[in-house]
Amino acid sequence: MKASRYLLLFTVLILLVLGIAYSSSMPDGLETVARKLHFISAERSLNWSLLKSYQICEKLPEVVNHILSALVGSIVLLFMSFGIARLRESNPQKDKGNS
Amino acid sequence: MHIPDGFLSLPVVTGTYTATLFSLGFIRKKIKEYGDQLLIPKIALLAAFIFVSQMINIPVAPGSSGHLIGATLATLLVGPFYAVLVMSMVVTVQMLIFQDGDLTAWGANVLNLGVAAVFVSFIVFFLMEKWERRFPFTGIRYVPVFLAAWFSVVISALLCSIELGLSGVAPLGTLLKLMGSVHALIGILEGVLTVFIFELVRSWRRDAVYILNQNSPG
Repeated sequence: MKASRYLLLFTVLILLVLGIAYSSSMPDGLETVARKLHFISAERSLNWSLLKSYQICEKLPEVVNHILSALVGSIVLLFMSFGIARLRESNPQKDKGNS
Repeated sequence: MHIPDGFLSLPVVTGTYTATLFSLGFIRKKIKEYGDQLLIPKIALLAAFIFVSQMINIPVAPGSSGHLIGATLATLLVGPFYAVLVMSMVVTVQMLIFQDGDLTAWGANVLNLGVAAVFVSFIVFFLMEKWERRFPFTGIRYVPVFLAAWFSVVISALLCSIELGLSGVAPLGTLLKLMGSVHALIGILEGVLTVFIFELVRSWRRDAVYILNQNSPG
């Protein structure tokens, strides 16, 4: 049973990595419509986010950048989730007071 | 379906930010009332999984691709309140770090992909589940999950069209028609992937599925 679980996890992980590596570069639904209706030019980028569109390092190939981005994003989300939980744990009195 | 900067007018930005912040305030209150700290590891993993899944674009029509949004999956696995939290975290990280969906559109993106998609999923699933009980044969149990996922994508797309239409980037009727038709196809992809992943989790850890623990087993 345990071996099959690890196999399943491994398979899901491989599928995700392959999915990212072979992800389609075609525009998504909103972009397709924006191009058709000619309002794509209204797009403005304020360029204030940490990275430029899933590019960790410009010198690296796109596939590697995407895999690294997936890793970085996942780690940030893991920390964020546990951070939110920790905030709630460390401040129960304040929560009680607010409710 | 992440709206970038420049597509939305100031009144729409203000309106969507207000609606999103109000919704998140309500969600926070509900999580404080009914939240379970033991769910946090599952929420963390789910958020990471949805983030990675959203990076995988699959061709759905000539010249157009789509990816899993994951709102229905999150709703089924952790319930609607935590699902909104998961989706908000994903959209926020995409915006803050990866320039996917921008600052002025954050309110609209969380409203469309988080709040609306989650609650549409929840409502459609429960409406369909009642209907499903009248036809208790095996295959049909996938129908509520599939339709919840399909409607979550289509309704989010229509809401996005309304926001864009109100911002004046294109005529509302045309936007509704085009966004609806493209996302009806993307919704099929969302439905199939959600059914597949949901069944995988259900067969592996039935106790980890929120929606199954809310009803009688079946």
